[in-house]
Amino acid sequence: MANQTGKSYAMNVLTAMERPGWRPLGKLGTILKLLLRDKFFPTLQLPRNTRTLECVFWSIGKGAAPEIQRNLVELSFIHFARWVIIKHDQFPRLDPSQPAESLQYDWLFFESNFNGSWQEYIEAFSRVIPGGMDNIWNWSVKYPGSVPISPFLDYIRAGQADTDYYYNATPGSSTKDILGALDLQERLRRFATESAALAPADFRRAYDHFLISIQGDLGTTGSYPESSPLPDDGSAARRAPVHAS
Amino acid sequence: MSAPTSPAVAPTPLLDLDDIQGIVLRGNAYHYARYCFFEITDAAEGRAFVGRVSELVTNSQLGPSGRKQPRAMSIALTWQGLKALGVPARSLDSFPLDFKQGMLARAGILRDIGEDAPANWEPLWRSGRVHVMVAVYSHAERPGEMGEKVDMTVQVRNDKAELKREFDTLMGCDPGPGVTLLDPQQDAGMLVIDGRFCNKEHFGFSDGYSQPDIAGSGAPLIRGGGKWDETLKTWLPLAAGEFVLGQRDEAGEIPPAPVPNLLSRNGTYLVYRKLHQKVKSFRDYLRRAGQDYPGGAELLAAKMVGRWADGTPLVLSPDHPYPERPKPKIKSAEDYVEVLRAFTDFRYGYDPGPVAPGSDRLAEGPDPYGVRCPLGSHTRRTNPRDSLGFGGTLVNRRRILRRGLPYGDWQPEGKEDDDGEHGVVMMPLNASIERQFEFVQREWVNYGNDFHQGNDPDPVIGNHPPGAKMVIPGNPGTGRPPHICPSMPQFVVNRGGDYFFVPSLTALRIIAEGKIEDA
Amino acid sequence: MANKSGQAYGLTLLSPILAGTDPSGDPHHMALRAALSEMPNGPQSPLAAVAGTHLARWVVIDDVPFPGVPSHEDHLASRYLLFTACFDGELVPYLEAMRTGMPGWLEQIYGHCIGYPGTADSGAFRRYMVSCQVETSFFVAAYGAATLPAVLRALDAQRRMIAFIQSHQGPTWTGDRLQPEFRKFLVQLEQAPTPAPATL
Repeated sequence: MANQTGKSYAMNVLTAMERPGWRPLGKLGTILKLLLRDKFFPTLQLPRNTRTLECVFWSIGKGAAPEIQRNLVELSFIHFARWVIIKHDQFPRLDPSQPAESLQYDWLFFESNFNGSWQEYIEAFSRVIPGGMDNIWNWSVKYPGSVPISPFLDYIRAGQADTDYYYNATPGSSTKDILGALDLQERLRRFATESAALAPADFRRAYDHFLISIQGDLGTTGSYPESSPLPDDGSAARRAPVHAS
Repeated sequence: MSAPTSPAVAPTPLLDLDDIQGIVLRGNAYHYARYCFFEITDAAEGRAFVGRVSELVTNSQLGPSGRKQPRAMSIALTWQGLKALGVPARSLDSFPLDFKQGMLARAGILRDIGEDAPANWEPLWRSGRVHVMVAVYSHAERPGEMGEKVDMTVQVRNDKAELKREFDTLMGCDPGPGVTLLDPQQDAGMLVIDGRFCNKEHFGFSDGYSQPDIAGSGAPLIRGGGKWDETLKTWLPLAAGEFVLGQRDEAGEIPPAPVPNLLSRNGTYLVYRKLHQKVKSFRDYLRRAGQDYPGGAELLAAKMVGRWADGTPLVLSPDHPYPERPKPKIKSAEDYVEVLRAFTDFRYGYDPGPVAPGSDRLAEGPDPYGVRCPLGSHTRRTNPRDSLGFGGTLVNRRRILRRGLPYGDWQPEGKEDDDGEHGVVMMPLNASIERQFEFVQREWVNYGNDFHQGNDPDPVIGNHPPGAKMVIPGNPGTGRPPHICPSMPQFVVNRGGDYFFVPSLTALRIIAEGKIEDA
Repeated sequence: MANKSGQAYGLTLLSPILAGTDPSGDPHHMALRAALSEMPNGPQSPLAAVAGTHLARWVVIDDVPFPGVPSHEDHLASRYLLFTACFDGELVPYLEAMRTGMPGWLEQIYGHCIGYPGTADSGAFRRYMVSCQVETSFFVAAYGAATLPAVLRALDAQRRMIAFIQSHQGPTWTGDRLQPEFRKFLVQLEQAPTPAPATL
């Protein structure tokens, strides 16, 4: 089992989704309903099924809910993440001898490569982009909502599959490390070109301003010396019953 | 909409001040303390001892006319201690993993490696015998306000006599053969410098600012202590559940807590950490590195800490400390709060973009790029305020109460050493050790990713691997380039400690009576 | 195209695992897990030899989780080997790079999967992998425009720049002293080899 390699954690989550019934307008109807919800009627209910999620992804691809991508990028602790809808009949069947699947649900697979501990990551999602998380997982069976935090943690944990092998080509570098390095590289290239013909006195001044422009990119990277384990994965075993005061 | 005036006292509802130990909400801000540690080898005798001590433990009520209580004592238990006292198995098991394992087992998570490693801890903290901690405090009468020159010989003698009286009262609780007072006890107390008590630690920096404001604590709000609300444009207190179990926390729920309810409610967790300060190494480094730093040693130190030595926040006054001002008469808690405001009421600002636009309007207002107060400085790391964006949601769950005191004697300039007994007994209190104290230690002190510092650690208290550095940002307005502080040696060393549970007075009673049901 | 973000490709493969036991008598899924745990990681990983692989993982899916009553209890008829990768460029060249870069380990792993044709025939291998592909619905990349070599060179440049700044700091480094040093630094940087994958 290998959920963590270097500074990145490999999370895999599978959640069930109801299959959509027939509707006269099909996806078009759902997309219209989404538009109505986002523009005029925020409490408009949409059916909790795969078609709704497909339309959500489609509209995000067309620029809807830009705050999801923006916040994800700004949080900058995810290298790469993806959502994959696997419909009940889309599990590959490669040979007649392989028994056919007879699933009642469609399935949503989520994977992420993120920095920090499991608990911090889920909590940041819950607190910073609750609307975004709801927009994607609301259509999954028994989704409790992204706030408050504890039921959300339990829901993710219940659907999580451990990774058997996790390869990381930049294990000593967090997402911020990489973004900082790319920023520094770009500015260095520009400065190298612009300063090539400068007189020494001018060079010194320009160099100082160049350094100022990369001063947020100068953190030391690499695996932390004597790397330490992160705290445990929020095991459900230690959740005592919640009680009011 | 005009911003509401900040209320003088936290709104409603009041927490159970009668039930919560004073160390949690009142801080026991006394001048001297003695931390005493006990091992329990007989459960029944241990429970009886805890029962007798509990009658002396002070709660969070204020004393007459709103001043602190005339005396104070607090008691806290390790998980091994709860076990030794006969707390039933299911209840024991319901405590969180961090508390169960204790600080030594989690040294790796905290990055207590190298000089900080448990192999170098004091024997007491490697023994596994610490079950109970009782803190006694002295509050001898003193003629003037803090900072006034008094006859220190007399004052110190009175303080120590008072401390001894408190300690004798504690030992008068007759531990019995099944309860052993472990050696050594740890004395701590405010530093006396040039004949005055001050709130400084051994590197010479005023300490203890920005304690969290807690909703329902009954204490006046210190602006800058709580969380900043961008809509209301004001400081609000933090949810009590961040510091007291059984209350709503900043994540909008009452978090899981140990069972039974009566055992955990109104309790909290305490981290005891004896931090040795290598004063000579620190001063030598400043002398050396200060020669290469434009601005000199004093500014370099301020950049590392985030405040000038007198506590002036760098972000409010980047070029020099506040001018010397007449010491105000502090006659009430409100007076004290007003004095504190100049040191606590500020924000850093936030911008997700990578670099400051060239601008000379960086002398005041937001400081998102660390031009005035470096992103990697000690105080900015340990309490980032608004500088991580997202309305503070990434910070509000990472606050800790600090209830510790310095130990050892002040070393005047030129007479410093690295090896003596001088440092700080750090004592964070929080509702979740892992989510609050450990997170800050692991992610913000011994790592720098959230502040664009890569692996670089806290320049003052961090664990410093060979070559540990700090980047001091330059100023795009003046063209002053960034400066990299080279190869910082270790300045602060962990000598040991553990994780404790601070039960409410009700919980202490049921522990002492042995009446916890195996739910 | 939902599989891409910038120039980065998010590949998702679900390969059904053979039921029953392998020639040595171990159930296929257990032998597969054992093989995965024996595969070297870090710079010695077989994936380090597959150019452009930023991050990749194998996960054995035994079954789908049960959400709890009153939900239906779904079960998979086969176990699946999930493979996801974030790599540079297009699918076909990447599959070819896998085939030529790690044939031995591919056999060790996919030898336990239904319909695996081996690595001898490039077309057959590609067709097999594509038949296992599931389309990504939403792919987010923090640095999708940067290839792995670009990332590695940038990380290396960052280290060298920090060292240069530290050794050329202070008022004695006037423009006329600093400029030629900086030029030398740029040349060294240009000539520096791209660091190997999984070393930074």
